[in-house]
Amino acid sequence: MTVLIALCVLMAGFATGCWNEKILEKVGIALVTSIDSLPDGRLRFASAAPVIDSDAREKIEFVVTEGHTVRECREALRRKAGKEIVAGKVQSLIFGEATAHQGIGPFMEVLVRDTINPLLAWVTIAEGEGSGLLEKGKAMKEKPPIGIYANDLLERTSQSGETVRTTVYNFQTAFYTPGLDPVTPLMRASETEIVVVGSALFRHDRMSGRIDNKQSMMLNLLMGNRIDGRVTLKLPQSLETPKGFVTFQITQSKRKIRKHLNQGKPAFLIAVELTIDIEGFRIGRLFEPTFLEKMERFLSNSVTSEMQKTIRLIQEAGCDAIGTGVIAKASWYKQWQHWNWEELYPRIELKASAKVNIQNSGGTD
Amino acid sequence: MAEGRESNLSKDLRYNEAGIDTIVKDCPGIARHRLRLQKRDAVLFFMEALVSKDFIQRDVLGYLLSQDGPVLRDLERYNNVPIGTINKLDHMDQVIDAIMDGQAVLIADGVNQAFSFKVNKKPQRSIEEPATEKDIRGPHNGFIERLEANTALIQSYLKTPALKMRRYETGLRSKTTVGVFYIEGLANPKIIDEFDAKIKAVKTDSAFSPSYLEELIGGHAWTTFPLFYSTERVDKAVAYLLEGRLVILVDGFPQSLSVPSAFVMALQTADDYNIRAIAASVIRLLRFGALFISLFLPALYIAILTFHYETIPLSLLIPLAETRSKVPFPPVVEAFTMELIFEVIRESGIRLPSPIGQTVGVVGGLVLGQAAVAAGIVSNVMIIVVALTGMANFIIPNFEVALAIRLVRFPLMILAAMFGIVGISVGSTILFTHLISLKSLGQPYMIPFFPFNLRDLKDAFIIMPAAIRRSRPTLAQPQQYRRKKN
Amino acid sequence: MSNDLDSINSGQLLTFLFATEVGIGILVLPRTLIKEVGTGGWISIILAAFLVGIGVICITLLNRMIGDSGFAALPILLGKPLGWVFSVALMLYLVAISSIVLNLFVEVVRIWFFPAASRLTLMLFLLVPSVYMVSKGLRVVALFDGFIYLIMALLALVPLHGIIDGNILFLRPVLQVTIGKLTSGALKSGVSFLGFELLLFFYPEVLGKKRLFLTGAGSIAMATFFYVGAFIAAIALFGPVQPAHLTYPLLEISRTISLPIVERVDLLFGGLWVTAITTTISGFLIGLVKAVETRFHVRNRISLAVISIVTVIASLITGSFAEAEALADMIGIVGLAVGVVFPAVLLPVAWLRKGAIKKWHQSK
Repeated sequence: MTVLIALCVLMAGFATGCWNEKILEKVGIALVTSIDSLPDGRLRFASAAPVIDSDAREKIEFVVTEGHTVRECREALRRKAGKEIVAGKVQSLIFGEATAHQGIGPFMEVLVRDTINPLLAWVTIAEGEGSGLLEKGKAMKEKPPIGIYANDLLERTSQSGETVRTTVYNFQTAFYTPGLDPVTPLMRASETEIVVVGSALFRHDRMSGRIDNKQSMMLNLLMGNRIDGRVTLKLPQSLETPKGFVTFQITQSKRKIRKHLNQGKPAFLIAVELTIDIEGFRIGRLFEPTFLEKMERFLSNSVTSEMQKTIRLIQEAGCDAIGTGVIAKASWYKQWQHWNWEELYPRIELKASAKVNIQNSGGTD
Repeated sequence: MAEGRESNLSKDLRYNEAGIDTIVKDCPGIARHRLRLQKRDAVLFFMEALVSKDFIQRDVLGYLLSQDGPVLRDLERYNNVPIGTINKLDHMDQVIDAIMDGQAVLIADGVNQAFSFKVNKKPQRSIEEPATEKDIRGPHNGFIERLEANTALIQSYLKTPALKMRRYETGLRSKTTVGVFYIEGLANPKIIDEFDAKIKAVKTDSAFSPSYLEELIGGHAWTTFPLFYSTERVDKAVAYLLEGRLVILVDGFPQSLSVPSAFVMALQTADDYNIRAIAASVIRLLRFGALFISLFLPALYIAILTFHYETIPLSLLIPLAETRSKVPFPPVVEAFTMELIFEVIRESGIRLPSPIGQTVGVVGGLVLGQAAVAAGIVSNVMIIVVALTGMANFIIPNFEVALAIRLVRFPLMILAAMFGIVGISVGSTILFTHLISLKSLGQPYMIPFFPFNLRDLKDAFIIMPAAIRRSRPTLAQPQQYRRKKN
Repeated sequence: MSNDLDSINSGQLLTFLFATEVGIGILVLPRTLIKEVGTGGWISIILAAFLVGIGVICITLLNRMIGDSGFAALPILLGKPLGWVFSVALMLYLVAISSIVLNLFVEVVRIWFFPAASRLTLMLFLLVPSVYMVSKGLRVVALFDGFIYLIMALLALVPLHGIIDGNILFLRPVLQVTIGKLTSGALKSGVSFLGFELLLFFYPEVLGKKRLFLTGAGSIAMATFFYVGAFIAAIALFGPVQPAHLTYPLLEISRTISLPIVERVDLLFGGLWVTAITTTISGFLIGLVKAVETRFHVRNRISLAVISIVTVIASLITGSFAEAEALADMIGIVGLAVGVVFPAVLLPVAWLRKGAIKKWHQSK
C-alpha cells in the first residue's frame, strides 16, 4: 500500500497531460483538404472545416495558406484559422490536376508520417485547382457542406463503380509496390455542383491519363472490385427492340486472371463473369429464350470491347492498375528481375473477356 | 470485594450480593428479587428490560417457590426445573456476564455457586425481506437482529446434522456473540481453523458490528473492496453454506458475512438460480456490462472528448461538438461536477424517509439536470453519461462493491484527463493488479478469473443449467466437489 | 516482494513468459525484417524461434541439473569471483533491457498519442503500473499477465484485417532470399523473443518443474505465431516495399480499420497495447528483483525503489529515438547470448561440477 501511495504522489507531481489536449469543440475539424503547386514552386494548401459556433454566420470555415512545404502551409494555418485546424477526421485529400501531373508522392509521404492523419481518407484529383474546387463547393448553397458533399459523392460513385476507390494507404501501397499503380477519382466543380467525372490514372505518383465513368466501371470489374452500378449501351438493329438502348445493373461479378508467357513476355487474359439485371423491356420479349441468348451474347461482346478499350487506355498511360506486374513478379520471378516493367507494361498482351448472365429482368411497357 | 477471574463465590449470601451490587449498581433496569427457599435466603438478579416477565414469574419463581424438597440440590443434580437452560456458575465474572446477557441469576446463602436461567427476551422485529436485496422469485424473508432467530431461519432450510455452529464472544466490553455456521464435510477445516485463530486474536473493546469484524479479521485495511460479502437474505446465506463457505452472524445485526468471498459473487443474486438458466445468463452478462459502464464510461467520455476526437463517428461529431461548445468548462471539469452532483442527490435520497427520498432523487436529477443544461453548465450528453453510469451502478447487487466502484471511478477520470486512453489503461492496470492481489481469508479474491479456473467459470459469466452445475466452486476449497445427486 | 507463497504453476509461467516476450516486437519487427530480408522475413522469425528454443532447452536442462535457478548457482559453477562478475553482468543486462523497452515504449506513446509530452513525465507515469505490479510479487504479476490473452486476441484482429483486406500475392516470391540474409534477419528478430531468458532466474518458485521446457517452448510458439501473422499482414496490406518506410506497420494497419461506432480504432488498440508493454516491463523488473534478492539476500521495498530509479536513469541516458532503436538491435544480440549461448556453455560446466552443486544444496 505504501508503494501505491508513493507512486501516486509521484504521478501527481508530474501530472499534466494538458499540452496535448485537443478538446473536441475547441478545434476546427478539417473534413477536406487540398494541395496545389503554384507556378513559382510553392504550394497552396486549403482546408474546409465545419464551424461549431451558434453565433457564426457561415457553416464552413475555408482557409487557404501558402508555403514551400506542406508543413509550412499547415503552420501558416495557425495565423489565420478561427480555431486550431486538426486533420484527424479528414475525409478526402484533393490534389489539383497540374500538381498530380508533377507527382504527389512527396506530399503523400508527409501526410502519412503524421499519425494523426487518417489513412482512410480519399485521394482525389480535381480538374483545375484543388483549392478552387473547395472554394466553389463552399459556395454551393443547395448542397451539403463541402466536406460531407465530396465524401458522399465519392462513396456513392465508388460503390456504383463509376470511379475507382482509393484511400491514402491504397495509393501508397500501389505507389511503392512494383507492378502496381494507383487510380484515383477525378472530380470537376462547376458553379452549382461537383461532378465525379471518372478516374485519374497514375504512373507511379504522376498522373498520366484519365478514363470516364463507364470506363471506370470496366476498370473496377477488371480489378475485381465489387460494384453495383448501371451501364447503358446502345442496341444494334439485329435485336429488334423499340428503344435503342439498354440499361442493366451489375449484381455480381467474378474475375479470373489467366496468365502465360508468350515468347518470353507475359500475357494475361482477364475473364470476368457478370450477373446483371436488365431493365426496360416488354416482359413478353424477355421470356423468349432465343432473345435472351442473343441479348446475353450481345452484352458480352459489348462489355468485352468496352473493357478492351479501357485496357488500351491504361496501358497507354503506363498505369498498371490491375496489378499484372505483381502477378508477373510472383509467377516468373527469374525473368522479372530482367524486365523493366515500366517499359514493358504498355506492350504486353492484356486481353479481356466478359461473359454476361441475365438474372432478372424488369419490364416496362 | 475485589474480583477477577479467579474470585469465587462464597457461601455467604451477603458477601456475594455486595460483590454483585458494586458492579451492577446504577445499571439500567437492574432488579433483584428476594426469596426464601427452604430456610435459605436467596436473591434473584436480572435485568428487567432483557428478561421475559412471564418466564421469571411463572417458570422460575413459580417453580422455585412451589418446591418442597431440597430444590437447590435438585438444581445442582437434576436440572428438573422447567426452564431450558440452567447453568451453574462459580465465578463472579460469570455471574455478571449472565446478568448482562439477560439471564436471571440466583444466589443462595450457604451455596458457593450461582444458577443462571436463560429467560432472555430481547426486543426484535418481525421477519421481512431486506429492503436492499429484493428478489422476484425467491423467499421474501431476511435475517433480523437476534442470533437465535437467525439460527432458526438457517436451520429451517438446512435440516441436517451436518450444519454446525461455533460461538465466539468478541469485544472486551461489548461481549458480542458471534455465530459461525458451516456445513461439516463441505467447509474446509483449514479455513475454519484460520478463521478461528483470527477471531480469537481480536482484542478490542468492541467488535460489535459485522463490518468492524470484517475489517479486523479480513486484513487489507486499505482497499475499498469488501473481502467478506454481507447479505441479509437467508436463501443466499444458505447457498453459500452449501458451497462450503462459512457464514458469520453477529448478534444484533441482520447482515451476515460469508467467508471466503470472491469478487464475482458481487454480481450474483439469489434470483439467478430461481429463474431459467438462459435468462439468468443474459441478466448476468448485463450486470458485467453495467459494471464496465459504471467504472469506465465517465473516464472514456473525458478521454475521447479531450484527446481522441477522431474516434467519434462523423455523424455524431458535429452535433456533439455543438452541444459541448456551449459549455465553458473542459470535459473533465464538466464530468466531475455532474458526477459529484449526482452523488449528492443519491446520498440525500437515502437519508430521507422513503416516499420523499425517491421523489427527491427523481426530481433532483431531472430538474437539476435540465437546469444545468439550460444554463450551459453541462452538455446534455454529459447528463446521459452520468445518468447511465449511475443506473449501471445500481444494477450491481452487492452494495459495498457498488460503492467501491463508485469511488474508483474518480481516479480513473483524473487519469483520463491527464493522459487520455493511456491514462485509463494505466489506471485499469493498477486497479486490476490491486484486485488480483487481494485475498479473502487466504483465498484469492479474483477467482475464477485470476487464477484461471475453467470449472468455476460455469457460474461466473453465464449460468449453466442446474444439471450441469454439479460441482462446487473451488474458492471455499470444499471437501466435496460434487454435489450429491438427488 | 517474493515470498514463500509466491509459487506459480506451469500455466501461469507460460502466461508470464508470453506476456513478457510480446510487446515491442509486434510493433517493430515487420519494418526491421522487410528492410533486412524482404518478403521472406517471416522465415527469419521462425529461424529465430528455433534458435531461442535451443536456448530454452539449455536453460531447462541447466536448471534441472542444478536443482535451482541457473542464476542462483553461478558462484558455485564458476567460482566466486567469476560468478559475481557474471551475476552483475546479468543484472546490468536486465537493467539495460528494461530501460530500452521503456524508452521505446515512451517513444511509441509519444508518436502515437502525445507528441508534446515530456519524456521524463511519460517515463515515470508509464513505469508506475509495472512497479506496482512487481511490488506485489511474482504470483500477482503472473496472474495479471493472464490479461495478455485477451489483449492479444483483440490485437490479433489488426493483422487479421490486414490479411483479409490485403493481397497475399505481395508476399511472393517467397523463397528468394539468401541464407545470409535470413540469418541476419533471425538475429535481428531475437529482440522480440527476449523474456525467455528469465527462466534462468526462476526455478524454485515454479510448480510443475517437469514441464519447464514445454512452458518455455509454448510461449515462444505463441509469440512466433503473432509475429509471423503481423509480418504477413503488413506485407499483404501495404505491399512488399512500403512497410520498410512505415515506422510501426502494425500501428498503421490499425489506422486503416474503421468500425461502425468507433472510427479510428487505432487509438483504442493503443490502450490495449500499453498494457501489453506494461506486462513486458514488469516481467523484466521482477526478474531483476529476483536476481538482486538471490545474490544479495535482501528482501524489502527499497531494492524495488532503487531498481526503478536506476531504470529511469538508464532510460534517460539512452537518448533519442534512433539511438534507442539501435540499442534495441544490440540488446537483441546480447539477449540471445544470455539466453542461448550462456546456458549452453554452462551446461558442461554444471555437469563437471556436479559434486560442488550437491554440497551446495546440502548446505542450504
